[in-house]
Amino acid sequence: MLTRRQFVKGAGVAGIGAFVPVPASAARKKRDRKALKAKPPEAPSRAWEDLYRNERAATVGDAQGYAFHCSNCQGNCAWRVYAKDGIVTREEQLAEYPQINPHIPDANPRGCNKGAINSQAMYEKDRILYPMKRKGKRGGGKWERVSWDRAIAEISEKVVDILEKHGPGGLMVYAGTGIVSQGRRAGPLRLGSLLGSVRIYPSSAVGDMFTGASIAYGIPNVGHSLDAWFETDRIILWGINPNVTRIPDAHYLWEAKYRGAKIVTISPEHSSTAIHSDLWIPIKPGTDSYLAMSMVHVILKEGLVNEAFVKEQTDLPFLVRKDSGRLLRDSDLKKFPRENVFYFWDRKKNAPVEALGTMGHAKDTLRLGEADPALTGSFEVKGKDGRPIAVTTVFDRVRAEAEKFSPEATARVTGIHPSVVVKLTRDFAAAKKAGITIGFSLHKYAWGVLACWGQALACALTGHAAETGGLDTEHQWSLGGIGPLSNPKPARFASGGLSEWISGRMWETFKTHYSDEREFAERAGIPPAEVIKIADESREKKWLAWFGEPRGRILFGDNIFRRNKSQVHYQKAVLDGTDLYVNVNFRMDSSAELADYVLPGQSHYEGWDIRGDVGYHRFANLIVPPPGLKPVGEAKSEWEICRLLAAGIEAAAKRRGVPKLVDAAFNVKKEGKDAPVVRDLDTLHDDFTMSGKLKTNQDVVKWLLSNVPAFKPWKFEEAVRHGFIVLNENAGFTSPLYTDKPYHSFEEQVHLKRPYPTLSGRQTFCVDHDIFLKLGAAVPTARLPLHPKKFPLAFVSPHTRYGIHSTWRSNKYMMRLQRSEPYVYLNPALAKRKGIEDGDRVRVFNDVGEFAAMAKIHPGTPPHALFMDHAWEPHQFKGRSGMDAPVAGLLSPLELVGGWGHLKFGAEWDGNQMAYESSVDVEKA
Amino acid sequence: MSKRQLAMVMDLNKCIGCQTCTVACKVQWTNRNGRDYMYWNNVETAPGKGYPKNWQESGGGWEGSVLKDGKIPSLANDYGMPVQLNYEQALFAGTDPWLKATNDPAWTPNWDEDEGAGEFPNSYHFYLPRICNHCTNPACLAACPRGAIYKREEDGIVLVDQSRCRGYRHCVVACPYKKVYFNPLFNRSEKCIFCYPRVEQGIPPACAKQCVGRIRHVGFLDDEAGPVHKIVVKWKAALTLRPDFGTEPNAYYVPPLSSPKFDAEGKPTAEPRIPVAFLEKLFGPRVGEVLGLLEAERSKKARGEESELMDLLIAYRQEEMFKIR
Amino acid sequence: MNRTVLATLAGIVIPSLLIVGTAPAEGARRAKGDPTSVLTRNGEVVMAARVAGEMPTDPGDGRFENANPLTVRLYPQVAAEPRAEKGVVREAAVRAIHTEAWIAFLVEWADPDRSDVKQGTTDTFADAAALQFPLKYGEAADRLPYVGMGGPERPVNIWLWRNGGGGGPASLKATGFGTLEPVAGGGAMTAGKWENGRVRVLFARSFGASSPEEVKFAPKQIGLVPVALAVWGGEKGERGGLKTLSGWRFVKFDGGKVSPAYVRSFGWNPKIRGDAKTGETLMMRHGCAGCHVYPGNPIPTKIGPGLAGIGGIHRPGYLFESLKDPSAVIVPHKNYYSLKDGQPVSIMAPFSGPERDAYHIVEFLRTLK
Repeated sequence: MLTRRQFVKGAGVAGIGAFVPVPASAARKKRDRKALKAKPPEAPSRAWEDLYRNERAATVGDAQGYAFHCSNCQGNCAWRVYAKDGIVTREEQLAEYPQINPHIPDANPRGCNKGAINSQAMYEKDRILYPMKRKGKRGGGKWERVSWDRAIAEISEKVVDILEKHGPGGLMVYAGTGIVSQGRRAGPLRLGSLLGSVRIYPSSAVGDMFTGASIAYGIPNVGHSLDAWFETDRIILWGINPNVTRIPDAHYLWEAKYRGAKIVTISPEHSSTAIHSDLWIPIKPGTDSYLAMSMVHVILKEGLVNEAFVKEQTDLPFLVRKDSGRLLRDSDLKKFPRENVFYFWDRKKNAPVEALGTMGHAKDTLRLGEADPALTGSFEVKGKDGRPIAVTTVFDRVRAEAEKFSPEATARVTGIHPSVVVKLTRDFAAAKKAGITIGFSLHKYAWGVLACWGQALACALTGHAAETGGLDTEHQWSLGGIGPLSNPKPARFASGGLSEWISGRMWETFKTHYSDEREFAERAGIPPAEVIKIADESREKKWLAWFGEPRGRILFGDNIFRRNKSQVHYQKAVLDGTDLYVNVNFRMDSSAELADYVLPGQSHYEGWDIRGDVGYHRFANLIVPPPGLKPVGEAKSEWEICRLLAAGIEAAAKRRGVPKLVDAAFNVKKEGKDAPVVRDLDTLHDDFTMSGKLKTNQDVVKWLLSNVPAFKPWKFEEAVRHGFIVLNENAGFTSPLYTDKPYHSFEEQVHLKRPYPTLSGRQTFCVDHDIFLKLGAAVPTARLPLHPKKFPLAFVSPHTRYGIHSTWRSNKYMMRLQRSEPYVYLNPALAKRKGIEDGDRVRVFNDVGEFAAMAKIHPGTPPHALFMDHAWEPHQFKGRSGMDAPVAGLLSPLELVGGWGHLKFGAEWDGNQMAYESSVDVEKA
Repeated sequence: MSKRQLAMVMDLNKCIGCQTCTVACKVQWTNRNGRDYMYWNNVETAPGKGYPKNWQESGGGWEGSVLKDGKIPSLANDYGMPVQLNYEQALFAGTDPWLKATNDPAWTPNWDEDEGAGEFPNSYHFYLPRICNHCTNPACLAACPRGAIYKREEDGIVLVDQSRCRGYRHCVVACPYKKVYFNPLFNRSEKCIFCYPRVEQGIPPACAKQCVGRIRHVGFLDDEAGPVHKIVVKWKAALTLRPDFGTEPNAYYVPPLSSPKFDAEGKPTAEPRIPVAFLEKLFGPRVGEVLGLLEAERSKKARGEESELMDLLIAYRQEEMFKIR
Repeated sequence: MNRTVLATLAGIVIPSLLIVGTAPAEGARRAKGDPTSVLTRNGEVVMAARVAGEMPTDPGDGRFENANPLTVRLYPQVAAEPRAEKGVVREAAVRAIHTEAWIAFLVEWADPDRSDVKQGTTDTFADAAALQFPLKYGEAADRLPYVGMGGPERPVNIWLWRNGGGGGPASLKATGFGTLEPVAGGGAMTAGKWENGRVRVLFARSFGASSPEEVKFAPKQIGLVPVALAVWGGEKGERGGLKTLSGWRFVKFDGGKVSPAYVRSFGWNPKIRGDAKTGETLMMRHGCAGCHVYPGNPIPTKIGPGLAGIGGIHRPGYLFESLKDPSAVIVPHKNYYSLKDGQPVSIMAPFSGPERDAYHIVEFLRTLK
């Protein structure tokens, strides 16, 4: 045992001995400690932070430009584009729009996810880099790279062939909805117009016409700039999902909510917009006309009518013959009648009185003066033969029709509890400013036209118009002045819906799908064969314009084989009838891949452009490419491509001795006489360039800035410096555009009492066209959806937030923010019944076609419908059979009419292709 | 503790789930250099598994003063591999039958988008944008054995020193929000940097500046003139996400109101469709109080009275949403 | 009341302290012959075999057959957060061969689950191994660096191999936990092979270093080079501090110069003995158990470094010093010190009990391996 002393000694010995630790000196300890203290995290070296600073600097790059995205998006947002060494690095919203009024939130930063990814998408591997000519059969995927010279020469030769054989109507030159700006559309429009080529109406071709609004107001695109939402007290969002489809403007809604507005969303699915709304009303797909009529019912029953407004601003006081159901016309009363003159019953005079301001009336006003039109009653007027004619009012007709659609009676159809309709209607009527904003969904149902017309009626009855609200479809500006650029000569402007119906032999899939004639007739009021007959009648009587089937198609930015219904069927029908198919495109979409020639076009940041037509806001944006930007492959602007084609066609025509073509379809006045239009092929290039004035797309932008009244007084240099311009007051169509107030349609009608561009000169709720009478739809009414029962699920395909139609739809970044492949939404109960689990591959089918997709189980989808975000590219599907393959061809019979008052084919009236009226079934693949 | 703290308020009543922030961030930072799979900013649907998949169940954060264990999400299963498409083969060569993802991802950052929960017509969901919370008590910082994570004195931005990081991923484990990502190309961890290279130049972070829903306010918590101070400190109208994780986040959320549930007959009830209990789990016990405050201020505004809170959230001018100097 | 009384009251009988001293000058005596024999006896020496030819590039190089392997025990790293509670690889064999110009090591261990650097993954870790050398060694260095990545003023040079590559240059420097940095311009050749459940890793480098931050070999001046080993089982998530490591071992060159003072500086073998059992009791008594985790501690908290394996990693001299003067060598990790008057001070109070208690405790700690 060692003693304490020994221990200490031992330790001491160890301390100086061989195998004990060397005690550290005090000095060394200090040094150790100092070093310890100097280590992180107390004082990290931050020099490394330059890593991200340098990366950021690289994305800012060395050159900047301005851009918007010229897809079929009505957002029209100003962006700043950054480039480095001639390559675009990124983009960012400009966010420099001026605030118009301190009490209204500003418009910054306009833009969306698609815009923000375009710097990547423009260099993606689907980009078309060179002119290409197909090797082997169409769609075989084999290509030969050819020079621009050769491509233009070959195409031009074939174009002249077609013109010689089939005349101007044999060629279609068409800018689709992939190009909607004034600058870029100008090329194809001008070339097609000089050649007299066929072009169809894009709005109706894609089913975007607001025909219900056309009937009511004579204008489909009405409403307000979207900042007006902020000042609206009751906002009904009906068949629209602005959180997805109005991304840059949706903030006005939720800011309005914070201001105290109440927001109601009406949609079949619990949409992204519904989640923020004060109330979501789940409506069964396609039954919107019932809800609209039900609102009208409540308004009339509860006496919520603004009589003064209705008497002055609508045709509701107009007299209607009880015998024929037709409007009482001057021709009923007079031997030498004026056309389009109508009557109301003046309660003061107790006699029929001519309504001023109608289409045929000499007086251009809605002022009633001393007159007090009766809204209701039965009267007798003396006919031209002296016999009495029993008449009533349109109002009474409307009331009788609305009587059928009480909230209780419609609840079974719409799935909406009556109390919801009553409250909705009362709140709407009572609000100082109340609006119904609808989207493009409604008119994709056969009776969207009725729903919209009924909505217009609800607005009219409650007096919501102009600054107190009203119906808002998709307001557009009236730019004016573009004609000489885009339409130097008359072109063959044809109906969109009807032309596609004919091109794609759509009646065939229509007949297949709606084969239960009784079922169809019960819902539509006429059997299916009658619809086909009305379409034929419309074509023959030129209610809607059609110029025959083109044999050659030169398409710009038109994904024709993606957007058309009965996709597989349509594709075959069209390609079988086409001798020459040229597609100008920046990427290989589902239509470019089927072409004979593919020409590389520019994407959004690469060419000069301007756009100012969209009425969501008051800014016209410019594309000013970053200086020194390198072309992507051999891409050229549409203007340049059209100019080359003009030169090529001119050369080919001269060589073949066809310098001119007489086009008897159109007449022009020459020295006071009608003379047929001559298509001057021998001066085509000079005509196209306005004798050399418009050589480039930059020249086109300059021309537009100095010729469009709404763009004044902006100078080119100034506009280029800002990247956008503010439209002046002339941009308004039916109201001025005030500098400090949101825009609303129809201030001129409401306040200045100027007539509406309708037959009645008023908001119109009676159409006595034969077809309308035949369908029992002379006044707004409701019809059941047409989905055939033989397949259990209504197929509905609203817009996606990941594409503007097919643009950006197959982009890998957008795909990753979804499921990386096309998917359908299934209600959980339905999925369970079908034995389908989330992520399963399913087959969606009917008797028209089928497609494969992934199942996404989604509690917000109603149990009796199949939903799918629209516009996936067909080439993203197994066998390239796309989501529109099972969608049957369908036209709404009411939209096929024409030759009646303001229902005449043109920019304001055309028939849509329907997209949401097919039924499908689904099974696990 | 930093001298000052830059913070962000995200208003969930204005978030429309458009993913513009996500893409803005991606193009600004994560479309390159091994970051391709990352989303420093993501927007997910709540309720949902989110991104990375099941992040709320993947551990990390604090239990008292102790770091909780957690898991490292897997790229293939929890983040999902970036989508690769056969553009060339399917579109130009005619060799592939259709255009599709060649890597068939098992998950994506937004796989369960819009799904939420509940039964039709009482389904419910909302959008939850997420960035690094730049926490006051960052678990990632505490977990790093190398001291490679630090919080900047001047603005409280939490950074992973890229010159010191060795890719051990203890920060990934520790972050209960799974907002630190491992860069497999460079073997180091990266995360949202609150766009400090932009902020230093007076430009707000890309996600905030480019937010078209105008939901994001950026400012110093102690700046009484700034929007963040007013919303968070003065009005107490914004809450942190999963405060129970203990990291004291500096991203704040204005919680979401929701429309009424329907009863069996289809009549609206007085009950909001998003259950308050669910919101309390996400945002803590004050959620009901804040929702009440929002409704009360909204009613004031509807009556034509003043409400500073509503005006702040409306944000009449976008530039007023940011005060970063 | 003093501690002894307390202990007695508690019914603890403290056995007499035993210091079984061999002659303190044993090492010195042997130094006349070979000062390293004590190390050899303790199984701490890797004999480098002299071979000829070019530097090997393959772990399968046949010349390693000429070298005797040294079995090295590895212990989970528990000194600093994060701790490897259960190490994957607990034993490895190390061989060394050399010429006049270069040295090569072969490290070999059993690992049934291979794990390599998988590109495009976020949640996998590679098997790895590292050799660690003091940047300075020999008499002038007067003390070995802290074996866990060195310490302030005592940098170490680390050669790292990761299965499948990546992770930057294979030569690194460190001055404590969390200080690892690649050596700019440095590098050692590494190559590994997984075959039939065994990993064999080659480390090789020329004697001279390309950077002043890398270890140099000059057997003629100093024929004994300290080396420590760390191994990571990637499949179990080991990386960074989650690893197993050895104490300092020594590679010896035949005919190289070794001074006795240099060997003494390693701090091995104080011929003092305590009683481990008593030491364990005293761990409780003196409050050690309140801060340190070790096997058998019923109240494990992680305030201080873990002690599991400490007897296998550290020498008694170091343990004794750490007990008496914790601030002498602070385990270089931010959790273990605070700043007092600008100076780092260990958060552990110096041991203030009887000296013999310290010996008992050291004796107990030596059993932790």
